[in-house]
Amino acid sequence: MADPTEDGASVDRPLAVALRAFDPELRRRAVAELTDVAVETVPLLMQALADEDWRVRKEAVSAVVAAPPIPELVTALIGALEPGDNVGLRNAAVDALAALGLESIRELSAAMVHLDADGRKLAVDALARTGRAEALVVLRGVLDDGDANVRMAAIEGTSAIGVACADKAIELLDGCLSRAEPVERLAALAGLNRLGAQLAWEQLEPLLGDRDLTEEVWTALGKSGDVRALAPLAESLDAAMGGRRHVVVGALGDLLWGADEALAARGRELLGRVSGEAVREVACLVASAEPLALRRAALVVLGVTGTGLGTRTLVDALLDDSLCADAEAWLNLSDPTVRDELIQRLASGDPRERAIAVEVLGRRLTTPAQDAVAAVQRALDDEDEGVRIAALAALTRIGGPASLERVAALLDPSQPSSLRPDAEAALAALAQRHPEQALEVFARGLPPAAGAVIIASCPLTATGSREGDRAYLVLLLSDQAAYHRRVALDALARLPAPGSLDAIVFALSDEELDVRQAAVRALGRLAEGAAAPVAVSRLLELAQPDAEAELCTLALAALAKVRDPRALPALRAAARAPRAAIAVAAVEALPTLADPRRLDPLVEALSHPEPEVAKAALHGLASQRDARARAHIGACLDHEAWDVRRLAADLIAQDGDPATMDLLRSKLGSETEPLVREALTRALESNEQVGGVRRTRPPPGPGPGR
Amino acid sequence: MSSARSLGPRARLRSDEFRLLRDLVNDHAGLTFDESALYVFERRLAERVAQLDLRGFDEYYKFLRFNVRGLAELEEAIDAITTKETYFFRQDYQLRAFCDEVVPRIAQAQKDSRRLTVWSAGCSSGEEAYTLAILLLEHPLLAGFDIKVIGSDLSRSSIAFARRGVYRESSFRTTPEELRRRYFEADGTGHRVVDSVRRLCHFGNLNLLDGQRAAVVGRVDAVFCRNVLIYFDVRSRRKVIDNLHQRLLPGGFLLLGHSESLINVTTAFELVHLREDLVYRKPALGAQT
Repeated sequence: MADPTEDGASVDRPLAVALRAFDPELRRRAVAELTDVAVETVPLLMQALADEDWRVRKEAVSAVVAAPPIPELVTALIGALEPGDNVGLRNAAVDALAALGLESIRELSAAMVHLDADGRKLAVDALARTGRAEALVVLRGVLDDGDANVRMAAIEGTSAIGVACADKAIELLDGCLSRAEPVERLAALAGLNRLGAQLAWEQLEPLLGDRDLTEEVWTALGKSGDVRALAPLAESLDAAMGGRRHVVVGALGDLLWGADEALAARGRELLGRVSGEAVREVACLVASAEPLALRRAALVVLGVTGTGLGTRTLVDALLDDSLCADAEAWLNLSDPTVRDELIQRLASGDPRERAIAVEVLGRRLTTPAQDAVAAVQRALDDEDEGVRIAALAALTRIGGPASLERVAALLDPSQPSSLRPDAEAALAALAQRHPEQALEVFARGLPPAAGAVIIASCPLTATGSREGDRAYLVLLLSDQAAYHRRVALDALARLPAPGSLDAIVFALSDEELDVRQAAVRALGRLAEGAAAPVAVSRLLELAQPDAEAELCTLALAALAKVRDPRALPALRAAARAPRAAIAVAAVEALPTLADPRRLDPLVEALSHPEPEVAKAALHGLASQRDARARAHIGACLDHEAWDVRRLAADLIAQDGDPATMDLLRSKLGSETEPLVREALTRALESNEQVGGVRRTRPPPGPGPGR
Repeated sequence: MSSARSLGPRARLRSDEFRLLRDLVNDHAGLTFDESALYVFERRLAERVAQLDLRGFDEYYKFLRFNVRGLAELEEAIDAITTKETYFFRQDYQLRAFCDEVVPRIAQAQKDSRRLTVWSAGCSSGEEAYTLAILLLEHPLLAGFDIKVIGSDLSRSSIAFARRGVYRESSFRTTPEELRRRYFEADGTGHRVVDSVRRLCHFGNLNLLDGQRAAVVGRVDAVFCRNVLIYFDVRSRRKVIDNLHQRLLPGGFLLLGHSESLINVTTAFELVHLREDLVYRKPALGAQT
């Protein structure tokens, strides 16, 4: 491809010819085909960088980036920064030097001595765009350049690079705040704000009167975290208009977000005096401003103002998915007006709004207020089930003794079954918090399920003795309503009274699956306590691979939680079961077992004929963080089922062990299933990104021009 | 489901279809039926055929064998063909024998633990279990005893019925009026077993062939298994008796229906001649069998 010239050098004759073509597309293609850049091709490459057509220049920049390190090329690029008429060449040279990164920084530093002001500015641009901390050392020397444009470029470049080395950049920019030139001060302060620097009040106060810096100073005040920054910002909120007011809102949002009590109190004092017109505009920003960060900031400002409009806006924002968390955080429910606003929303026509109001009352009230609790309790009669469920969840936290009877009534079999789980949880919480009142309600007569929940949750005995409580529950096990039998089993399992085991075991013969499952769960609970040996024996019987699948899977999960040497063999046998549902349940339970030998059955399960079992085993092995487990996961890249191979690749990627990368690369060469290849590639890429090295092109191989 | 079909003429069961269904039931539950059961099968399963919107018993058989819901439907079918009519205080001579001669022996054996458990194996809709509970409550020797009556049946719907404990007039054909007044109360269109009796009774769904599941019953002092063995073939009958034997405490009693015996089934029990009945007993520990 390259031919020797008369002076002994070699030039790429086809490229030289092509670069003289009239059609710019032909010239671009010629550059694109230049794969072996060498010293001899540097002049042609520079010629391409100087091309009148931007597409050719762009292609040439790509060729420079892909080229191996050639000092002559860097020298030529820097030479392009010398005075000249070809603006395209100079810009292309800057692009190329920036893309070369570390390779060009030292040469650019040396060139600062002889380049003219325009050249130095271009060099600073290139340095800034390398994005490397090493460039900052060079920029530091240029911050005091004799030329104003070079100094400005250096300040802006410092802030641009600062993302990679913020502390050093902030230090340099901090020193520029006292510059005589207003634009330099402005650029430095803008850079500091961009880097998130927290400047001291003492630094910012002298800048308050600087009209050139006003908006950047507001932003900096917002980041200062200093209570003294509030007064000038609050004043500006009133005084500023339009986009400038948005900047103030953003700064106030920054300052007040996560504020301590002193800062928040001062904020309430100062922002409480802000004009109604300003508050209305801030409320408008919450509703519709762009970007979202400004809406959040406006929300914070409104939250602190404590005005009626502010409260209404915050409550409105609870319905907005992108703002609801911020709005909830700023609602002060110790303020009766805020509670009133939420309570009024319970009359809304929108069930979602009613449910959210109930939820927030339940979550945010730190000391239960009678008005709120009464409102939430009324919501139990709401026509919408979502609201009723929200009310139960709220009463779990804030309900008082008066809620006990009302919640207990929901456990009557005539009530909708969809409310029962939440009603049980609420009643259990209420009985724990108000045990004596719970027993009074119990004594007055309750739906049987409510009685069972109170017995199980109340720290006092409901019937006067634990044996009486147990008898109540055992009787309930004979009830005709399956729900009652299920609740009784749950309660019996929690009751610290002996003698429940027989009743729980007999419930395994219940005609309803739901009750039988509750019996297995109850056995699991007993197996962790005093009745462990017998309960474990029962669980082992249920965990037989030919047992009822729904019960077997529960028994396996329960066995995994007990510290009994019989559990491992049982789980191991079940993991070999031909029925995938049972084998998967066993394999999923194995990792939680305390027995250190749990790894063996997991490894065995990789050979199960059902791929789902092997996949469950892979997940289990991945959770073990063990070298042997890793090796077996790696071996599954050869599994016959493609979905198992794909999962193995995904798990290896998540593990991020660099040692397995070679294995992934080798499998990529032989894997034919596209979905597995995709996973292997993804795994390799994610690992390279973690390491910070990602090549977009393969390294050039040896060629004739070298 | 088509209402038109369910209103149409009842599906007819051919003898070859009957044999297929009968063998399927036998494989699953060990229950055995002779040719005379064809009409029972047809009458009780035709409703299932209609409800599933099937064209006939051949489709029903395929549904039971190959449909994903086949096993659940088979249990429904067994439910339908085995549900038997029963009533309170049935076979009074045997109940008298139990109260007068068996209970005193058990009470003596359990005088320290003061616990007594009786199992009504194959309790159908629960009348037998409640009858036993009433008799035990009434028994003067059992005052202060912790009494438990377990009722089990293969049919889930029967168990649910038994738990409900509400019965129509036909269940009371041999119930003494005095006991009926004391232990039943009016409930809508029927009569409900009072709570003092109900709290002694515990019902469960068990296949008597499944020894492992039957273990949930625990150990019992007496088993009533009346008019149940007649449904089983010889092999299954042996297995059932073996399971009942395992559940009985040493010295515990087994009471069968008047037409049933353990001849050719097992020698693990000893025969006890009572004044009005013959019962079987599991030999006490140390006794010769």
